Amino acid sequence: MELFFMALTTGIMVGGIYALVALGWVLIYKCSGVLNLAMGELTLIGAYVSLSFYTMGVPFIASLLISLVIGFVLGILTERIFLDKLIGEPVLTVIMVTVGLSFFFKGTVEFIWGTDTRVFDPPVFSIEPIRLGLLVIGQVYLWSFLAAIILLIVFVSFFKYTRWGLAMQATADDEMAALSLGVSARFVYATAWAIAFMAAGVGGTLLGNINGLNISVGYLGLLVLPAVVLGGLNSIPGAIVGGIIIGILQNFCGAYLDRYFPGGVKEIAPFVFMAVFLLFKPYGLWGWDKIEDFNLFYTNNE
Amino acid sequence: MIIIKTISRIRPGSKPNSSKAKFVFIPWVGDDYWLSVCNTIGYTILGALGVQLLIGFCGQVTLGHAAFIAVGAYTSTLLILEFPWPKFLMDLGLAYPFSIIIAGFVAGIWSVLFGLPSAKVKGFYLILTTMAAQFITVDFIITQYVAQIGGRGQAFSLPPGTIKIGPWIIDTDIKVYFMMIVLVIICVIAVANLLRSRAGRAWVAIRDNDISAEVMGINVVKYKLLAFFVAGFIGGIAGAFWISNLTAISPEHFPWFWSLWLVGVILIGGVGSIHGTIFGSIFMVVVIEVLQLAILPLADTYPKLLMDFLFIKEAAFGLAICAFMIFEPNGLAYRWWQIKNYFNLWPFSY
Repeated sequence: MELFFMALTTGIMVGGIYALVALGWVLIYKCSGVLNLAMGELTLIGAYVSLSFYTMGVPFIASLLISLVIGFVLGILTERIFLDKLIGEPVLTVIMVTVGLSFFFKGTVEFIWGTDTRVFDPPVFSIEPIRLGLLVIGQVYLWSFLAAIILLIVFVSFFKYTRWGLAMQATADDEMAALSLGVSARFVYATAWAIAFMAAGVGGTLLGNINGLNISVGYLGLLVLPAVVLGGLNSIPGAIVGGIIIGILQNFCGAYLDRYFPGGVKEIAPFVFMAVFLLFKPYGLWGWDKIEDFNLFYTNNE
Repeated sequence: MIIIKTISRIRPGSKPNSSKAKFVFIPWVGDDYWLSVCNTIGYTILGALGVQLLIGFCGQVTLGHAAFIAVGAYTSTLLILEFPWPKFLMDLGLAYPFSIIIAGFVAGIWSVLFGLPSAKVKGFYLILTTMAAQFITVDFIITQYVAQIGGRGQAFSLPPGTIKIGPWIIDTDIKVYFMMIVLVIICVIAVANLLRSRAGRAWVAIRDNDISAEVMGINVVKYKLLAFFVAGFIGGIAGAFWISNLTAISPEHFPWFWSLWLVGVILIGGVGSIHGTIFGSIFMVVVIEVLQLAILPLADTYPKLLMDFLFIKEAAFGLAICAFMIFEPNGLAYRWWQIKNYFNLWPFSY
């Protein structure tokens, strides 16, 4: 029973981080229709930037904020340089550009920072676990979860209550109507990428705090794909719930199935789950069913 | 291909360079180097041919083709190492050729297994399913179970002399090269002819519009699965061929990167064209090699550049895909077509 609760709490905590990264993914898809396969590398960039500043002696919060700023700039640059030219191109083209971007980012990150595992030194969070009744929670998990939740709330209230957020919602809902009301679509796309970069960077920093930072954190960034598929590709609540469910599923598989299938069950389980889930409910829990209809080789404007 | 082959001829065994960095990192200066480049090109063509068939002709986007190549490679290796072949087959040197064919079939069936979701899902969701195929097959099943068979640890090494076709033992680059040429020609001709058959026409119809294909009486599911089978078969042959060059295989030879690389190759070459597959393979491999050659003079001053060449290669590949998608979305095959038309109509082009 203790194992059960341990896996559950750890799952929820890690799932919170996945939810944050998944939010960025869904935002890009909702606003600009880009199916982004470079999410893992976005987490890497933010994580390494904040790690470099932290090792230089900048306080953790400040280095996190610096990585947010750099993520913002990089997001806008990425959108302006690469994605802006692809508006109206076939879906497959755009997907493959994000794949190209993921290689570009990954190669650059590996070239600059190398492939050795790096840790936040001195540790940001104390190793001493917190006891809540039966539960024993590592402080890293708890604080990461709280940070992820705070950022999720910040982003969601940004969409609900600010002018720019409302403009983004309008574009996501009906691009033509938003354009005719004077919303700048290019601005919205750029903001979506900037926010995705920022969210992924924070997610990567938190994940790097848990297990140390190396290239495989980028693989954890790929786990957003099962999460968003579960929630429905274009639903923000779906992304949050999906992220948390994937976190829980992963930790349960690690806790219970690992002794029957030794090795990497924990890493594979979300993808197995995703493949099976797609067979029965391809639109996810809250997605639109029209997503399935697009043809990868032609534009969908007509 | 022919140009590179001639390059390899006009550079007879040049002396190893005196520079120490070059000597340590790249012990290849000479003839064999270009041969091995050709072999890589051939392997890329064989791998990308299946991807081209699936993406370019049947419209089923796959990002997990390295899994099927890995299945082929491991099937062939295991058959050679573990299977009790009858004595006369061993003497005739038929074990390896048979294992190539069996590897093709096993990889094809494995591919159909992961193609089954294509009956229900398409587009982006199929991309995710094939991605799952890669992670499940290579990172889990092969790494955790298949690679442990026989207790050899992670890497299977093939003892010299086991890879034997008829009287020839495939042990040098030149022999691998001729084997590659034969396989590539057979596979390219087979696929090109398949595309003119009933199945090929059905695939193109499914790619262009699967609903109208079904209305015309094409059994969409059957032909999609057939496409997966053929693609997996060619992938398996590619994998089984490549073990002759590797002589020791481990799961790291078939990463997700390789799946994406193959898709990148056909996008750069041109989707929906067999010429495109060949152009794309040559282009990508040669560009990477030229990049490496260009970095060599800098290596004395910046040794980091050579050490981290793998990462530069990744970044360059990423940028190349982006640049091609933005500036030349039709790929190299379109340029080829334009040049051909220009000379067809020359001197009066209108």
